[in-house]
Amino acid sequence: YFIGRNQLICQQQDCHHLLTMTLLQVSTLFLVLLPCGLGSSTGNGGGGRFSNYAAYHYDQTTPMFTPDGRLLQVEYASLASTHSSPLLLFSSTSTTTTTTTTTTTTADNDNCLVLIAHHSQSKRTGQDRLVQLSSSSSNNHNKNSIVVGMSGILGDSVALLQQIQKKYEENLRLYNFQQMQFQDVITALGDACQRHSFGGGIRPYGSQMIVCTSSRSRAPHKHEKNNNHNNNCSGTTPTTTFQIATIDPSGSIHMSSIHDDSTVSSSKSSNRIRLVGGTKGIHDQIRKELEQQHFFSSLDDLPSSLRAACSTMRTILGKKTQNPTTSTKKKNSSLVVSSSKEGDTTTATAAQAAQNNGKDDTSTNDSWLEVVIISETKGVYRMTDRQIEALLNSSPPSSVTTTL
Amino acid sequence: MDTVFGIQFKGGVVLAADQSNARSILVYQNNLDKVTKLSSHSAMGVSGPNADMVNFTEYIAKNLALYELANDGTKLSTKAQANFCRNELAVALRKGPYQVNLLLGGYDEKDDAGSLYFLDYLAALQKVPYGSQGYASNFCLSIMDKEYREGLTEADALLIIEHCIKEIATRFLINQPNFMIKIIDKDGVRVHSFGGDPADT
Repeated sequence: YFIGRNQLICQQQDCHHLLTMTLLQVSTLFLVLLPCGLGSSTGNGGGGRFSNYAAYHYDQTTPMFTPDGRLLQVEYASLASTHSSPLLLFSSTSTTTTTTTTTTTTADNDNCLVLIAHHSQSKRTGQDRLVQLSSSSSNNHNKNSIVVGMSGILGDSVALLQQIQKKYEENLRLYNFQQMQFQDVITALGDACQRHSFGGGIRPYGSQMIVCTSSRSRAPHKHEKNNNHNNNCSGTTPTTTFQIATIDPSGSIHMSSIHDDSTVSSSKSSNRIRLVGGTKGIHDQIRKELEQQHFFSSLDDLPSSLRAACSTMRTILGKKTQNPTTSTKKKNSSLVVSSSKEGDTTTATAAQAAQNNGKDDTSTNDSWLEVVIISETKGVYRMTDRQIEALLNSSPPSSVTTTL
Repeated sequence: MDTVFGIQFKGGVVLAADQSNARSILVYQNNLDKVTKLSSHSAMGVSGPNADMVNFTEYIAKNLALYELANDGTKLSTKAQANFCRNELAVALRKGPYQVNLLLGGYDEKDDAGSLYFLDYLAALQKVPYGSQGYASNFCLSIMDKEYREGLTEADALLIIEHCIKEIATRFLINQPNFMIKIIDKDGVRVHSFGGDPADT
């Protein structure tokens, strides 16, 4: 019609002829474009650029189920975490050797859970992705602390953190709980995510949260009663379990735990790491790079495994930001937990030893890493940027090369 | 005119309360149970009008049960229960106050120890080794001050309770013939003795 109108402005003797031709062209154009516009309206479109449900709009609103029982908006929200860098989580052992006399040395094994997050920005700004939940208890401010890792949309993750804070304040008011309870934290997160997956005009949270804490318990042994009818738990062995819970946007809570399993063979060591967020392809790349860095064979040595893990994260995830920078202004995080004042030599050994051999920060990578270590005995320790850089710039420990 | 008192001993708590239900010059009954079981290992001795006594104790007990159901069977500690009671008293204080004075005692498996909390109708809360509510405190507290010591056994605690009951019977104007005594320890809440059987109608 539009072409036809233009053509009518032409010379009158050709008007009729031209009008006929343009109408033919228009009708041909219409017939060609129509199938492309409709796409898979029959719902059988397995290929092509349109989803199966686009024509039915099942993915446009949260509370509507698809004919095969799926909530597409919630699934899409789960996919949001694949667009952010993954969080790496693994357990390792730090050994502190103490020489009490000239002939006596004791080795203390400290089991640790390490979380590493990668940021692609060149400058450290705003919110960290690994957050330690604070409590008002002054006696036990660091031990049994809870660390939350956030992947996906950062704004949604912070909103979920506020849900935890709200729950904590409610528990403090009602029950005088001075410390955050792990169960309450994961329940609050799960409930908040599930409420948003109902719909009602609000979209689901597009973030996946991982919550970690260490809990020390005694392995079940028979109880001996003394004259005062008190249970005597002599002969029990204290074991540390790191409790890990993953909460996804649907509100489901997936519990897992990493025990002190230093006797596990290296072939099963891949089960001692977790990757939250990111795509499967990235996960495979990270695992492959960890193998090349001999990470799995050095899991029982915290400095070595930490260095390999940081190097892997920087290598794989920093590939997107390869632009060299002249200088990167680094400063200590405002959220650093002051665990170092307790003489946290064990968990800081890895960083400090490297720092002694380290050099100035000359990283040419735009990205930066967050490393948080949850120790069995020392609590939570957050490595500074300088310590991380020194660790990455140091050479691999000789014990690893000997193993090779 | 209610009498409620309690003592913490090593491994538990003893709670005692009179069993009289009276108003003005009339005694309705002498077998009322004023020590209410809240959870498997905690109980609350309450003094005050019967209506508030029953209403408040049932409200607290059911909320504690709800917490366990909603949190995978997690039991609240005695301290947490006492703080919950205090909060409820505080919230109601400026709306419709509960006119109850109570002693909350419980046993915690984590510490393997009992604990006793004093709460009054103004929502004050204090952890105490021994305590008393009502007029009887004028007679009981001095006895407890004299005889209580750290590390009491259950038998010692019961002896102190007996002394208090004897003193009340001797010196208190109001006749309170029957007392309910309950013990809370690792085995839970159990009735030690009573003057009148609450089950009697």
